[in-house]
Amino acid sequence: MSWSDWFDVKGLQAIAKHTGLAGAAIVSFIFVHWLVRWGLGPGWWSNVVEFLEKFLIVTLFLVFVVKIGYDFIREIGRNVRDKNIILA
Amino acid sequence: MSAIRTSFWRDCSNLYTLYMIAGVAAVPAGIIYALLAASGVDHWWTAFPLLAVGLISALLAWRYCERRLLLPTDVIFRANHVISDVATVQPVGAGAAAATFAFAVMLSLGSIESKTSLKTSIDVKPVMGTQTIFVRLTF
Repeated sequence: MSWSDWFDVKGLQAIAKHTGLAGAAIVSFIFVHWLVRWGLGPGWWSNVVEFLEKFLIVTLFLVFVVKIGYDFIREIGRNVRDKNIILA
Repeated sequence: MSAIRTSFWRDCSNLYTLYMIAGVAAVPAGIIYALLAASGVDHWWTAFPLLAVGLISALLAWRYCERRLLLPTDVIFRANHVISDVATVQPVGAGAAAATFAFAVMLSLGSIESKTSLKTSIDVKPVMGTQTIFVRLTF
């Protein structure tokens, strides 16, 4: 069984799109937090914003993993239905 | 080719918006974590539950916005304009009412499964001297 039995072009495109756009969203959040921290200056609140930034990055990464995992499972399901993969 | 390109960028913009919405939805849990962490209460038993809350709220916001805000225009048009009475049962008895209720529940669950927007409502009206149940489906 080759890799293309698991992922066709559509599946790979979807994963590439998710990777690029999740990355873009994370970079956007980092930029916004940087702006806020720059506006606040050094201090306790700046520290709070930094922790919030870390939390959001981890959360977005987990959302990305969940969504990719969902696509992956759906792709396997489609292959099983089309009998590209035969379950013993 | 132009239509394909437009569709590609629309998909990308929708997906980017969904990721941003997911991030914003996780902000309340993130603020609680950040306040705790900045106060020196930064332990795994505070971080993991808050991370779970943040992830769940992000996924729920994603699902809500995907279904409600980013539907194609024609689906939104139908949702606003087509109201149909699909089933009428008369006269009202306990069995008929139970069957009607089960029918509405099955349709609602089916619509969730097939990702279509559908609301069911049941109302009882006096028609021609009998009590009649109307099952109203709004697509």
